[in-house]
Amino acid sequence: MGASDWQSLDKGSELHGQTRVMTAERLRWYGDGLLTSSAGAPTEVGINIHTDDAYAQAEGLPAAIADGMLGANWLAEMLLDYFGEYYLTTSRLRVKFIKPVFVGQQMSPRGVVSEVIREEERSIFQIELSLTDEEGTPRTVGEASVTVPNPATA
Amino acid sequence: MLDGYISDLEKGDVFRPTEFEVTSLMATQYAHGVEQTHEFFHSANNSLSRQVRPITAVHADKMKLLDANCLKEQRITGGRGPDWRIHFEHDAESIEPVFVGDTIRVSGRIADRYWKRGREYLLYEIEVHHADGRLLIRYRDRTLLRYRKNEETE
Amino acid sequence: MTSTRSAADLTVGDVLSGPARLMSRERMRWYCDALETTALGTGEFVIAEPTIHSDDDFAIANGLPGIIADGMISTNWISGMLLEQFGVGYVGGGELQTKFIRPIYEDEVIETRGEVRVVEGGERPVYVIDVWCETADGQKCTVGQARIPVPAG
Repeated sequence: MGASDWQSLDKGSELHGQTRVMTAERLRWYGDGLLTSSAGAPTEVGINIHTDDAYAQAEGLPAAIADGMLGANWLAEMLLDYFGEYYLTTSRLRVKFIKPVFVGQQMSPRGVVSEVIREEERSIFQIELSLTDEEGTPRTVGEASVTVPNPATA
Repeated sequence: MLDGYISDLEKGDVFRPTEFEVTSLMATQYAHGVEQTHEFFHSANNSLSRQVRPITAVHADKMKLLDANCLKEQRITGGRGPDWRIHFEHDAESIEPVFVGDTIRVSGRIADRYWKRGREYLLYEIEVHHADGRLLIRYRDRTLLRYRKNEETE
Repeated sequence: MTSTRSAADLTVGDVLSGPARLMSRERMRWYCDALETTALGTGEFVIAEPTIHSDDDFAIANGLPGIIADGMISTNWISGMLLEQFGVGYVGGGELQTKFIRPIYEDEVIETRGEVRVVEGGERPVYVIDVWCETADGQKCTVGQARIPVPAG
């Protein structure tokens, strides 16, 4: 998949990202990454609802759940794969974490182009997003828009 | 109310801004935590010629803002509040990329605090500006204060 | 990014390539932690002790100008390029041998490459591929050879 794949997208086009299984290690990696990015120095995540079943159960959850931002990042990665630097420069990503994701669930990022607004010098792609489990049930849903220059002006 | 726990925040609270330089570690470790291997996030050897921080790392900006304003619950250094919150919505608009080496200023407020179906929510509105005044990211974030429902408010 | 040809259609002289990556201090540290965590094998995450790959003073005390990358990082980048190109054909039946002929220092940009040298015939045809990593100015650092079964066309 190349960073210029957006050129082949039009209304109705589907986007596919990498299917991954939610693992305890991935939850820890996200916790470490978030805290390190916040602290500015290597920092390890401790016990919380994303890393410890007992802690999660004390908060009323059946087991540890994934930080929603992990799936949000898998959707962001899909947008980056298709749109390259244009996703990083002018875009909007809005997602809602409508169902919890548990360790062992398989998650697939998907998108459908709902509209392409063609202007003289740029095009704005609007995309419906979902992160679905192995049964096809959406657990995170949302939308994105990415602005790209038209090829003649790129 | 500022300076207490996150659960003490009220509609209308305006955070004291936090300003810092974005380091390579902040970008690369966040990307590593979500398995984003694009060189954009790991070096300047990319089409933008500068190392980029993932847009989604605005989640870490929220943490820094909370650490600076909720002094009884500084999560980055392992602090805890009465309950662990659940992230419900991430909505980030990228106006310009955040590059490593940029000094950024993170500001924000509590736009709303409300009950819905037995659960209490905080709505954050956060902006990330470059030190020179340019708006880089506009971010809205909706978070449940706790997972467990309060049946009386349903 | 690998060859534009499919894994079944490569011929002698075809070139493979992977992305250019910066050998950052963080990437060196991640490998040290990952190696020790995997080696311990208890499920506990291990922060590696200082080594020539993660600590400048330690590296200098060992006669190096500064930290150098574990050769297995560049080997894994080569391995990733082969996995992209050949998929399960590489994982199930492929061979990779590498030598570390020049240290890779912090902040060097490294690219992975391959070139098909021979296609061995017989009952189970095999690609013999020269593989290497090189710096931005073309200095080879990690070199070796891979043998990958030719997939059925």
